[in-house]
Amino acid sequence: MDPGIVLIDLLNGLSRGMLYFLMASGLTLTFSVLGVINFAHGSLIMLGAYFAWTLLQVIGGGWFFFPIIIFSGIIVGVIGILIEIFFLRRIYESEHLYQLLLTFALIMIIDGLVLEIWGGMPRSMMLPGSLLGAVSIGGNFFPKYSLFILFCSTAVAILVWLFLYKTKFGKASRAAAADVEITSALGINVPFVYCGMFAIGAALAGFSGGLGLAMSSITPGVGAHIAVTCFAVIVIGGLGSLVGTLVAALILGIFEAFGDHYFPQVAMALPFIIMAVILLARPQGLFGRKG
Amino acid sequence: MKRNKSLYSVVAFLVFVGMVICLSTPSQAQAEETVKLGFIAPMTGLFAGTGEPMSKGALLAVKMINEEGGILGKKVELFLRDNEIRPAIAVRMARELHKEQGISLFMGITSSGVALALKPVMEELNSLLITCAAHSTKVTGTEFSSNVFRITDDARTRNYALAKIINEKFPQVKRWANMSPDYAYGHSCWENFSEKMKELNPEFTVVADRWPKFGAGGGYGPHISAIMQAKPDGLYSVLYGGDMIAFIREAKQWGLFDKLKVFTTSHMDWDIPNAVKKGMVDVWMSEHYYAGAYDLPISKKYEEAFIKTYGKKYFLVAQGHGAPGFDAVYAYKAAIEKAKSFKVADIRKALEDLTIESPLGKKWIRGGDHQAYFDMPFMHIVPDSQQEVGWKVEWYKTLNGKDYIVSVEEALKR
Repeated sequence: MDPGIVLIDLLNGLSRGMLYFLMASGLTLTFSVLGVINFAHGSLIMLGAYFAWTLLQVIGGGWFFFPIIIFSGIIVGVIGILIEIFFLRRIYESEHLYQLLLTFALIMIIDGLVLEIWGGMPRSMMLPGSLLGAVSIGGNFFPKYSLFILFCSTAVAILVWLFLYKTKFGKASRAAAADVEITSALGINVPFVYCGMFAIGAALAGFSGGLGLAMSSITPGVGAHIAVTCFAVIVIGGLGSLVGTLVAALILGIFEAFGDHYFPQVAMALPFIIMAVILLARPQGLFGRKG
Repeated sequence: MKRNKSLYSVVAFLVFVGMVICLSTPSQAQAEETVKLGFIAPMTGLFAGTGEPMSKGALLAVKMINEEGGILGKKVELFLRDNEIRPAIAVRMARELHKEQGISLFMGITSSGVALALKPVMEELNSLLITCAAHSTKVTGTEFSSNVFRITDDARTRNYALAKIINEKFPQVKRWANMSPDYAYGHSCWENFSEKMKELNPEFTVVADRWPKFGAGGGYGPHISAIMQAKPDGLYSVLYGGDMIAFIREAKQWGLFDKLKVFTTSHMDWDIPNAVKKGMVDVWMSEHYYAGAYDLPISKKYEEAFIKTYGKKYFLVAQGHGAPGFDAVYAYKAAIEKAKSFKVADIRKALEDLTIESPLGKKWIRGGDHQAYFDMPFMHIVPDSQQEVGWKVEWYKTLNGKDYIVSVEEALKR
């Protein structure tokens, strides 16, 4: 086994894993604080990609690319605020079935709107020239854009951690996740915290859509495809655990990368094998709490 | 209280499902005295770029037929259903359309897996299916069904013809890599291409054989890395839809195409180069239709009507998959008029050995295997920064499927 190629495979896995983390992190935050399983998370990721594509068409690519994908995340975050205020807020006290129905309906609404607005034909983004091509690592090539994904996802992971543990809002949201009544009794505006966390989760989804789908194709319904991976990641990591999401995303990404290269015959089944093995050993996921 | 909530949840869910069913079911009375056709294809998801234009071609044919007086005096109605390229959804939709609308004539389908899943359903429902883009040889071969027809080419004829072109243009290329989706269509295409290449050039060698998941939509880095390690001169791939877009974009970043002498695919929809635009690479390919390759009155009629209805920009993207959708409707029309009957058994008999006028010229549906044979277009696309789309068709040629035909007995064995 060529060590240079192994390094490339490892980078592939890290890049893929960190993108999985970025895509799934919003879902984890939403569940850990609001207790809502947002089935429409994949659709929000797709929306981010469509907004980024549209802005790139209007403004052009080049150095605007990075601000555009951030701005696309912000737009999706604003949509998240509207979803929280007009829909989700009404069902926090209800059973999970209502959440399932509501977020499932959101998938159909968002996918239908996307189909009406952008049509069914695939779209692909214009990337700045500086992110195109590959760099040589020990004589082997590795795409610059994959390194860019790795860098951005790592930066976002650090920012999310700082936000949750070092800011007042982050601490309030963790308190609300632990005990709503006591948090409320302490004078913290819990509905505001809920709304803010859902918006942040949606913004992360939008940003990850712009970043992650820039190298592939954007089509209506692609969110459902991505959502499957996101749910696999959060289940393996343990529902509601951000650290679990990170570890699970990296495990999946790295195993998939090596599996695709060296064991392509079983690569397709690999994520499910990993999921089955981990859940058999720890039904609550790697970092999930029992019960 | 908890029990009540559960009950409410179940009731709410049932009401919701009921509403969806009511809203999506037109009344029977409304559709009487019409020829009803069921169209099933992916119109959302990674493969929307195949199903959506196909549906537009079919809708266009319905519009034109109705303007010309319908079929034996009856207007035609097309019922569109999106199966997201999932076999189970396609099966459910076929059953629903049959039960609720009384439809027995189906068409569409862009995946061989879906076509194969529908085969027993068509037999059970005494219905017919004309597939428009499921190319696996199995569909009209080992899995042949008297209820299933294919109006587009099969993987064998198209890949035999492609191999001939590639071998003529690149006789020096011997080291080949394959990167195709791991399902019936992908295996069928590569099997036929490599078989013909071996026959034409005994030095043909496969140095890398990669089978990524169908519908992966990206993340091809490890496969690309493995192909580059194998140092092939030629690359064959029948990834399609969103998969092919992602592969081209990723592989270009890795520098894979710079190291190849030829990249070829037996099928690349026009939505792919139109989506990739300035990132497009040099490729020898085939599609369901290319406007520049046909100069027939019916081709012009198809093109003008398509552009008038959906616009020129959309035609450039959708002309390929639009054509078999268009042809499938006209095939049913021709068969019903030939049989002078609306009975399934009569239509089936009439479809066998039927020749229809298509934008691609005459399409002959062989009775023995239910496969259409006709002039298939092959193109060479090159990047061109002078063009708005970032590429141009540098060369094209049509080859007739009949020149690559195998006997019915042999076709049914594979």
